Amino acid sequence: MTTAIEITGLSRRYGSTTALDDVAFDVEEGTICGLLGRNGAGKTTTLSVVAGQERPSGGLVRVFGHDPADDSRVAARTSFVKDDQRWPDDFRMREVLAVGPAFHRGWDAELARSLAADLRVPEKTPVKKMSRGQASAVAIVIGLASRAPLTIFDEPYLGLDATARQLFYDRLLADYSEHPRTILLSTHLIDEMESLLEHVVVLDQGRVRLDCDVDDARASAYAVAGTTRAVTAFLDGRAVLSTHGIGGLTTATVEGAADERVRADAAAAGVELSPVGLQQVVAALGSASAASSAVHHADDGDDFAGPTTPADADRRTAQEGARS
Amino acid sequence: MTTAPLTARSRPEEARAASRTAPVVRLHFARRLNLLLVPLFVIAVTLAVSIVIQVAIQRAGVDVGTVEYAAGARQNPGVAWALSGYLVAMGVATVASTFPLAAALGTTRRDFALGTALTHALTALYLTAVFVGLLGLELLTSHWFGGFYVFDVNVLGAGDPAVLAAAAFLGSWLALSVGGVFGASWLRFGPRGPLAISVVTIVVVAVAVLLAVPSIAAVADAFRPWWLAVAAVVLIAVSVSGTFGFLRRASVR
Repeated sequence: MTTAIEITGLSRRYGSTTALDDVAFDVEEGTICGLLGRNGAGKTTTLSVVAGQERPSGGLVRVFGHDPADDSRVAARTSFVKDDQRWPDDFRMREVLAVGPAFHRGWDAELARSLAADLRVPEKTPVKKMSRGQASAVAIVIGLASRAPLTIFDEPYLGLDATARQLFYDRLLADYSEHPRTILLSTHLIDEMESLLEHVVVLDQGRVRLDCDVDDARASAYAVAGTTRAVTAFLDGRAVLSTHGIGGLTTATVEGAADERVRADAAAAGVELSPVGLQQVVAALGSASAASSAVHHADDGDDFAGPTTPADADRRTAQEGARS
Repeated sequence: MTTAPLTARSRPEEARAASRTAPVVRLHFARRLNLLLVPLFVIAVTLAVSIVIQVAIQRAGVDVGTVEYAAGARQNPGVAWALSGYLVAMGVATVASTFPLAAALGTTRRDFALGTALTHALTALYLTAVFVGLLGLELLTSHWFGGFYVFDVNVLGAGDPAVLAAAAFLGSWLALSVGGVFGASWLRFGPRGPLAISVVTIVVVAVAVLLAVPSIAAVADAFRPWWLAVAAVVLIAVSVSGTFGFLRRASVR
């Protein structure tokens, strides 16, 4: 398998604001990769750099072996409609259908027409005047019908109703299995889209927090639940991503695999272990970062999040350093 | 994990095949109403307004059969200026509001700038054909059957189709190009871009006027109409280069 996207040491700064800092990950050809993370994590900036729409401040980006910044060989094989895409004033769906084939060699006009009909995109309304969901549907039509070797979706579901979202997921999977290509998408609806994804990259505050297959991501953390006293004792010395306390009970998400030693410790401490879903992992990574400096105590029953001890914070910093 | 082979994908012919210049032209002309039909409407309105004004003059008792009347009527520059503002606005729109969509469809900045420059030139050619055709009609119908001078005017060559074609082509292309560079500067620098261009233009024109004033009579004597054509070509070249330059570093937004 070849690599479609290679990113090493990518940084992007806007004045004094750092949007991306030392980002590094690869995406293999013919896979669906999810770019996950909180608002402001750097997802859209990363997608824009990969699509050649933004120039990085530093680092190396290769798409199909080329620097994507203004390279026609990359651009011609890429489709990327942003979540806040700007449209010419009077551009309507029928103009999209008319010009699409000129831009993408693999454009499937029949697929575009049927998608537009199924997603109920109005033909005569200018895209600029469409509702948020209708504009998202136009972006989905372009992305799927383009059959671009690198198709990028930036939160493609915004404003779409549940039926339209399910339609998108179904059509994406169906078309992808018939015409495999590299798909990179950002999403906050992790539970809904988890089954589509093969690989995930989790960004937080411009840095990569996780870069692995979906199965590995799920196995990268586990949940622990029990009395606050028992859970606190169990968590001592472990990398805690998030905790949540109600009354005398506490649940926590802990980084790492629930191996035999962990299971033995849990049994000894009298706490229950359970696997976590991808959404839980991503949420925990985000909340751990947000509260990395806030240390609360669960004993008083308040919600709290973040490392339980300064030693945990040090360990996490060291892990991040090793990862990057 | 291996890296995609670079050599197989770096052939120049592949880059040429990937060029989006022609699709960008098609993208612009997908907006037929704005680029092709509205100018016709503006010309038609100008024609109608010019005729109404000249009918009013005739009804005031002016004899249209005299040489003096023809000379005066040929001073009417209405149709030459009527489109200028609209074309500048279209120049801005073709760059500022179309660039993000072109980028989304997989177009490089260079291809977009090339395609847009070509679109401006083709639009100017189209308008030139319209102007030449309407001048022909005006002359064939003895000035719209009533001595109405709209295209047979001094600023467009006083009935000379070659001068009218040059003026219409260069004037239209210049207006679109100037709009284009303003749009590109906005994409690159936001509102500061057009503001900076305006300030620089005002300063340059002011300095030029101040320098020329002492010898204005000599300049007026030496003036030849082809100076305007050369000036238009230079300004078009500067505008197109500026558009390329601004777009090179512009973010897609």
